[in-house]
Amino acid sequence: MAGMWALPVAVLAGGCAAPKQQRLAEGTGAVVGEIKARPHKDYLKKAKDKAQDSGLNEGNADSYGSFSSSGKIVYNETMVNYGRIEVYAILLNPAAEPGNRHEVKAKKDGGLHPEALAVAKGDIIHIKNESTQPLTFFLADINGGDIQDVPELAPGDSADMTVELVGDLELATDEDERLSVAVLSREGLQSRRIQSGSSYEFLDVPPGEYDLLFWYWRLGSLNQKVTIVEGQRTQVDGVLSVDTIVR
Amino acid sequence: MVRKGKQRSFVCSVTVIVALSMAVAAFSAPAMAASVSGEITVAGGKKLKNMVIYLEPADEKAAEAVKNYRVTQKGRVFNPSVMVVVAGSSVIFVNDEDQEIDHNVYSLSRTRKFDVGLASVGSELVVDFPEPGTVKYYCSVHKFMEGTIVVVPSPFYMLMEEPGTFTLKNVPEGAWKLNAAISHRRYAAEPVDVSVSDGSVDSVSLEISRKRKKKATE
Repeated sequence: MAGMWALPVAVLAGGCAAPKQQRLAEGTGAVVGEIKARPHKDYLKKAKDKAQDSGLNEGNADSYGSFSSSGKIVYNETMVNYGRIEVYAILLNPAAEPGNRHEVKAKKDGGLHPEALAVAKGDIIHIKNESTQPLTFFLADINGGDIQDVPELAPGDSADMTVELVGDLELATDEDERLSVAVLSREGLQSRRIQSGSSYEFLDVPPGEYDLLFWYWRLGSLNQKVTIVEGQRTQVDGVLSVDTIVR
Repeated sequence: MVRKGKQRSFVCSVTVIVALSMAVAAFSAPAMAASVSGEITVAGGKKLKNMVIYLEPADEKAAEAVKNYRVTQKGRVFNPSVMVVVAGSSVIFVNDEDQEIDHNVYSLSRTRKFDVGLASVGSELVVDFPEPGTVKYYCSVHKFMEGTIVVVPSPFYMLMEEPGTFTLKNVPEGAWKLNAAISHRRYAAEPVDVSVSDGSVDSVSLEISRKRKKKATE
């Protein structure tokens, strides 16, 4: 799931330039940046070439997507819309306190929401069964045999599951194999869920070296070390794509 | 790793049982061969689906062959969506769309991570699967395109729709382990030793049970 990468890293002096920046707590630093997900680079190149060959803009949108006049790719309904997907910025901070609450809902139409969660060991997943059938939820390590669960939930019921497992997990149900949520669980995990192309920030982080991950469940994660310096905002941007992750 | 390939494998798009019979037919005739049959039972009587039971070579005598398999992409669907291949085999990913639709097949699985790059109509891209395990793969372009390849350690396997009796034919003599890959993450099989010598081995029982719950203190 994980890939190491080298990305542009910049260090911004704390308090200067951007007028709306929140002041950092004394003795701390921050890591900030933007995460963008995009199609495979070979696909992008061909789509651009096609758009240019066909006089640009609308192209062959039915089967291939196209480019708008502003140069952005236009996705059709069958395609993964990389402009709208939600991605995670994750900082592994051993000093972070677990116990954050996350919600998973079994919907009436049979699906689960959200499709992915980033959690810390010790966090709580609040599970609501809004479907029309009883469901028994369990959390399983996709690469091992460990498992944890909650008792069967009748329609309308809910329960809290405190995350004990660490790894690449799946929250699933006994009753229906099609229901599952990809769960990335790590010790000391802090996360920001943002839309592709948006910014994230982790403020007031004690100086030191940390693991920083950018994750989209269907693409996996990019991992790197980041050094937090007192009084500084370290900028790390990332691009999530098959060609940046599978190497 | 990933290479351009010519059309050179059989089509196993109907069921995995077809692939099984062809794989066995291609296997060089052993000095002695026999059937291994028995029954799959599930603790608690759960009606599980999609189990692959298989034999894993446990000595040199039981070592195995290599085959090629095909997965097609038409109408933005992988076909078959679930395939069983023998470790050491290659799979040819064929884009046979009838209009210009490109795909990008990739996997992040620990068993086999790959990215075939841009797959245009007519392309045949080959991926090898050297290690046993389960490989989930996707198309990065199309949101509903995904498939699974179960890589088994020998050609003696069977895809079962539900628990029940099974027969693995023409198993060479040797020491084997009977095991099962199960798509439902809640269940796992306990492997069973099977010794094949000069006759069929009947009444082998493989039990599939719910995985042990992790203790809070672990």
